[in-house]
Amino acid sequence: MNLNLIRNFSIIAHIDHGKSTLADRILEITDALSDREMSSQVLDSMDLEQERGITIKAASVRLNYRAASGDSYIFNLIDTPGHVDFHYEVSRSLTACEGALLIVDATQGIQAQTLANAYLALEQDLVIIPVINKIDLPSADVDRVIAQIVEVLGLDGAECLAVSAKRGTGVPEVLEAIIERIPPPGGDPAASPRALIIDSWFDSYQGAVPLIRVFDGTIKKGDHIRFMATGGEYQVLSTAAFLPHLAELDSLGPGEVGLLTAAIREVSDTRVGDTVTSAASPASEPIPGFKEPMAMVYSGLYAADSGDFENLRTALDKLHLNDSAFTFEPETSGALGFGFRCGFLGLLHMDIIRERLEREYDLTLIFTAPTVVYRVVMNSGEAIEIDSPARLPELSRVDHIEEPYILGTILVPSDYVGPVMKLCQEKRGTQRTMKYLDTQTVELIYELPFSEILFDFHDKLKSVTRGYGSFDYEHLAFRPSEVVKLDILLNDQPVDAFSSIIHKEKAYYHGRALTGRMRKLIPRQMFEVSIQAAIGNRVIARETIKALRKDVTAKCYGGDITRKRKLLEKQKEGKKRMKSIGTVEVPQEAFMAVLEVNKEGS
Amino acid sequence: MTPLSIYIHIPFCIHKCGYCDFNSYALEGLLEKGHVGEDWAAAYAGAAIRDIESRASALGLAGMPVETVFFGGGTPSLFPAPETARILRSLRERFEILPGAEIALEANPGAAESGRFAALREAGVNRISIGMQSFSDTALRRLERVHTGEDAREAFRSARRAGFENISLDLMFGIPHQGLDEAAADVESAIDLGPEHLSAYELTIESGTNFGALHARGELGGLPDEDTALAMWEMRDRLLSAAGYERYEISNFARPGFKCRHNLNYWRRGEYLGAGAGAHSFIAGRRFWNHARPDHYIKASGDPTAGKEIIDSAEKAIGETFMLGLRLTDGVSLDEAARSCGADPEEIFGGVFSELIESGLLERAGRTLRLTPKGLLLANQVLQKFI
Repeated sequence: MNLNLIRNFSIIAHIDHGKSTLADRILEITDALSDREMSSQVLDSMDLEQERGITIKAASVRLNYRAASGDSYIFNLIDTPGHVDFHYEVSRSLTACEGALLIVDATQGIQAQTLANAYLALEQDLVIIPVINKIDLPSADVDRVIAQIVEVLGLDGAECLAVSAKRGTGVPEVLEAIIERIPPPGGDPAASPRALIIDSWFDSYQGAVPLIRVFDGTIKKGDHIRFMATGGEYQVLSTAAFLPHLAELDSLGPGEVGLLTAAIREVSDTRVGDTVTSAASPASEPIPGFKEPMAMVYSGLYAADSGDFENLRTALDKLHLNDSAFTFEPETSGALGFGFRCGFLGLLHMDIIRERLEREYDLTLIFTAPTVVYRVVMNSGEAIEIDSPARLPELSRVDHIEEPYILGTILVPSDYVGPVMKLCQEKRGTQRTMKYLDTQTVELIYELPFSEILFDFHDKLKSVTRGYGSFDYEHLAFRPSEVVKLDILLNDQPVDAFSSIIHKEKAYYHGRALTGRMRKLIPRQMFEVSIQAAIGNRVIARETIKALRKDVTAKCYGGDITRKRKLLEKQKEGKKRMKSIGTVEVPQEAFMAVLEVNKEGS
Repeated sequence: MTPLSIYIHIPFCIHKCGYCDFNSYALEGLLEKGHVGEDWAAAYAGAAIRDIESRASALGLAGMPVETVFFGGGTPSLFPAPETARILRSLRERFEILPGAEIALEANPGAAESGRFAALREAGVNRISIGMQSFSDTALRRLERVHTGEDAREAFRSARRAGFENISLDLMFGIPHQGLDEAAADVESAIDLGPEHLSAYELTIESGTNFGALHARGELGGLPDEDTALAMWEMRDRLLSAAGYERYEISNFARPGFKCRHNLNYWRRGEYLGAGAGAHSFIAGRRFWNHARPDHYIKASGDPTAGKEIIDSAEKAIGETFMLGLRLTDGVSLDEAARSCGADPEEIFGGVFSELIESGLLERAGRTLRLTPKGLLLANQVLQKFI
């Protein structure tokens, strides 16, 4: 394979700036697909992604392109996830490339994720081709966007390409620019193989299938390979690539992107960022940058019907084969019984897992309120990390508690700087810098507690900036914080599944909102139910659900006993979907009330 | 041989009221749609008679003693008296109607129907149940009833004149926009008429009715809040008890000797044969029911069965015994339940009994279990424990 005829690149963009549309046009021009197949955006293949309009898992296609010069090139278009929950996967995808198309919406200009993605690409020394998209829209302002790209990213304005991915305008020029500007891959075909795992998924016939970019050497059927981080060794059964339909290849050499099958049991055996090498003569150094995926958000997961515990375990095991980024371990709740403490990359990731469990495994689930990880420094100086409020140690033994902070980048039109600063202040943020990217766009950098941006920060930002503000973040560090544990008591009994850790200043408001919300969600019972919010022994809010005094079908005669029984059965079924906590029947939704309160409140 | 109860369903009404979820149809609508012809009454009575004949022979019921016959609806009083008499005659030919049997018929107030009372009495009907609901014209309009309060009083008087010595009144409370005083006035007016039996129900909003649809859309205003509704229940019990009526079921009251024997048979999980559109039967552990639409029923005669269910376990049978029987203030006798179902109720529901007794909903009197006053108001919470 002539390396000079290979180009590896990604398309990076802020959400909705047209990444998938441009990818579709490129596929079309390279004749990869028939028109009929072009009807939908091909790269977003999973159902969930289609529904949410987000690319969750990276995918990659290998395309043949006949250039204006008459030469035939191989393009490896490596897709990247478009959500901040998947930061690490984006960076790994970019490592596999020599260049990136940076798309910027001509009507919106640079947004927070444009910046974040561009910085990631620059860190990897990629050649960036700025592509200004949606020039067909009346409100497009190409000159302004070019000025921003020059000013903010320090790129050459003359290098900007203006396109309408929707109409195809300017796309051929983009393909030529890929050849002219992005360097071909390097690599020594004779060296010991080194290939980077960009992505991996589970196939019920083939097992875990890693998508790799080869840097050195060659990988082919029959080779004995080793994954350098996990240490797993396998024999390659096949190598292949998406053209975009799956096609077997004899081998994968330097600069090539493709997948291999090797009867690998679990996706967690094929970690994104790991290096594949030869088992017999391994490379001395892996490709740098591998990180264990880090769960950032934790939640307790229980089957609504406790008889489903084993089914839930099986479902989690199966799902984990396919998505090693979430973690789970058994936990026991006094209120909910046996379940699992699950870790997720972020709330979107949690939602995806929840939907898949409910849809694919037909389970009715109770998720407890998500929480971040807190670092608890004990009087002894020992520090422990806790992923559940229930694990907070006795406070007399605690010196202080630290919570995770993030570094948030917010891009906002200058008119909205005031409201955004106010929002960040409410969220306990500290401003690091503020600078004008051009006369209209301001970049605000804040240090913010992760717990504050977890639930609704993005929605609030959109609302105070009329949709113009954008946001991106990276994890920073643990910082000492005045947090307290807020307990909820039902009829004077604390319910561990309702506990949360919250900043002292917000506890009072939060306790009131939460008890109020739960009063509405918990149906009346045959006795009075009190709901209290307490910090330690101090009750800060209280609500009462009055006892049910009347529930009787007045009219019951006639011979249709079957129907009467069915009506009672229906009523009884409704109760089955509830969880008994002590003697109180609590519906599923009440466990998520914390989440809703966070969304409603400030 | 345990005597049988027979139910005859007459599904025809002048108008289908907004709250009604019974198997009933406005006659005019049926005629317009061609579901029934001008000979509807004769055709229907003929189908019911064939229904009874075929069931009696198929189930080996011929010659059985019959303790109660009940014509329910719909509006049985709308049905021509000669056709009712024809059905009764056919019953007498096939069964042994016991001397002193209760032969009851539901009637709605209205001039046309009142005129039939004498003929019905003549045919052997000895109990009339009048669907009065309220004496207030405003309340009756809200319920979409087609009669006035005065019609209701007149219906009662003409039933008496026709010789009925066992008259029951149906009363409703918790009607939209009805206050506690108005509900009390209805109960007092009913007492003033001096019926032998009273059914006094709180209006229930049923799904599948006009009221149900309005309620779901939040458009059915004026329903009493819980405090008011509870006050109405209390008022009803107090006034009727003071007037000498004994409460024997959640919503039923009677002077001594006048409990409705037909309904008692349902609540005691006795056997019954049902004829007519949508009528249900319970014979030898089997429940079966007929096609609900009158035209389907008439056409299907010979075998009008639309569905059936077999109660095949003692546990289910005992569960039903309590689900039905606990509605009665006398409660359920553990020994009788054991005898009729062939298993020990305490073995199956012992835990449920203790739990309910502990929460003050159920009480034990010797070998009998019955609902407490609190339990009567929370009956659904209790009864669902038995299914």
